[in-house]
Amino acid sequence: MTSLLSIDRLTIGHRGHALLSDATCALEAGQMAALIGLNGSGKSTLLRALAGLHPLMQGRVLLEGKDLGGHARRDRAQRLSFVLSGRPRIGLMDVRALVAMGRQPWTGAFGGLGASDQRQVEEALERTGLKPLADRQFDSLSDGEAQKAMIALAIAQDTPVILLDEPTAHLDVLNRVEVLRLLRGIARDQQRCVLLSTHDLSTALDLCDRVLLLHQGALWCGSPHEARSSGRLAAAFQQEGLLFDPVAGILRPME
Amino acid sequence: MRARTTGILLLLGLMVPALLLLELAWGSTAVPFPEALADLVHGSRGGGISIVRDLRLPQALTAIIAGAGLAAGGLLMQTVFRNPLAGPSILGVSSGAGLGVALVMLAFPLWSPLRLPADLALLAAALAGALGTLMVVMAADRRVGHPATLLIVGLLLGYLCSALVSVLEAAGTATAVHGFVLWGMGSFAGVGMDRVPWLAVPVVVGLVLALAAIKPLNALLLGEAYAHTMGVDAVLVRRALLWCTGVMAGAITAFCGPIAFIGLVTPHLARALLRTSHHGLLLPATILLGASLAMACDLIARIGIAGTVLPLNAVTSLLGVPVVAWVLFAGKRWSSAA
Repeated sequence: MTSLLSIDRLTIGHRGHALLSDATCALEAGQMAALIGLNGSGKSTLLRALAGLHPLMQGRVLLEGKDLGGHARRDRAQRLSFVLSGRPRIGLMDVRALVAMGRQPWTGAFGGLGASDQRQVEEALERTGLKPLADRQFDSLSDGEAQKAMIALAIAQDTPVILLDEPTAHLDVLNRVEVLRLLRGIARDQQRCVLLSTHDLSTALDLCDRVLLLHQGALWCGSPHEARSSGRLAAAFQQEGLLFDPVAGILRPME
Repeated sequence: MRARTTGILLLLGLMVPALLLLELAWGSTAVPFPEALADLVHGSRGGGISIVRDLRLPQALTAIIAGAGLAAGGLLMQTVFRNPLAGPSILGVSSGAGLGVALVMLAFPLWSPLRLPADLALLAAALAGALGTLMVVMAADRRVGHPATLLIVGLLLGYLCSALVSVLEAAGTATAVHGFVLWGMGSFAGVGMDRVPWLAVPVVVGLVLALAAIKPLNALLLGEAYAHTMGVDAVLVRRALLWCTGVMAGAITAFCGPIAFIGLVTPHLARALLRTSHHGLLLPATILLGASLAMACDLIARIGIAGTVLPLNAVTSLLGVPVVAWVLFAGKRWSSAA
């Protein structure tokens, strides 16, 4: 079986300076994976590289077993969606119209929506609980609602792989858990592969099937259990004056 | 489509022929509608110049083409740069085209050995100027990215072009400078029927390409990165759309002068009317509204004050400035084009 998304001896960086070297990892359908690491460790750069938005220095990214660059643009967009960090500034667009943009890789030359496209949009709204807000303007939504709308857009895009850059940043604890549950549900029920970056260690370790740990230019992949027990998390996050609690998956200030 | 939207589009569609009829009938010589129509079909009975067919019709057609092209160009620039204050006259595109025109009109003796037809030389120089400034603005956008910085770059380019123009003016003959100053006031009257195609072809090509790009334009509303994940080659599309804008604005500026504000203001009025940023509705509405606004400004300029014909740019600016002020201060809801 070929993995949905895999990287093979990948090196990426900025202006010749490698941020991540020789990384190898594979992600399967039905899994939600968390990409964790300190600020500046290269989480966003890795996600952008996986989406084809950042050049590779060495190695390969394989989408459904085929080189990412070998997919035609439209084919790639039908297989991989990406929810960027932060909320885009979009005026004069209601939530339904925004989510419908997710159908772009599937529609014709002028982007007209067929019956099945409209059904997918309604399903995405339903799934994210945005149905009651479908006629509201996107820029009038709260941060949590806006994040869900961007996730609904990715769901409507109907791709086997969904990447998300810090989907839980700026959200309160309730919305954080809700968004992660929603994403895990999508991964499990629809056999998609969801990869998200996050700073929220404890929820990520509780809810994700896989952990991708970025630390000092190297990528480690494994199960949350391995991540906790092997001491890798502790090594990555333990700093002077901070103690990593491997059971809770959180950092505590040292007494 | 909701009834309100359909109604507005229908109204905008009807405004164009209505204003066209007014353009044909209204002017310093009153020609009643029936006579105007007869004149239009048969030409002048006396065999001389027909006011309606030879003067007012090309002027009205020029206004329609120029208004539609400038308005569509403004919308393309606002979407491509994700900047509500972008427009051909703001980002230095008109100034660039103006520099090209100045090179042809003021430094003509230098060009005469080439024996180019005057219209072709004018068009080519204006297009080169417009596209040149757009390339600089595009490169600046890549580097700095901040919307306000982009406007400053446009402003600087405008200053640079007018500085070069004044050098040319100082060196030009009095007649040539007089002609150039008149050109700078803007007018739809200078394009005779035989020259209308020179203007129409580039603008229609630009409009068709813009209409064909409705889907990627919508994707660009989400930003370049999202457009990429939707399968759009954002770099290519942005560049192609700016070329479109440059060709339309360059051709219009060559023949009508640097028309201010129509490109900047019309998309905002269309957004305010339709309350959408979806280009499938916004682009046709902007094109129709631009044509109507240009004709309305032309009529106001023609009626003038106390028998004097007003400079077209005075009219477009007097109407445009309040709208821009409204976009800046009151119209925040409509202004976030991107």
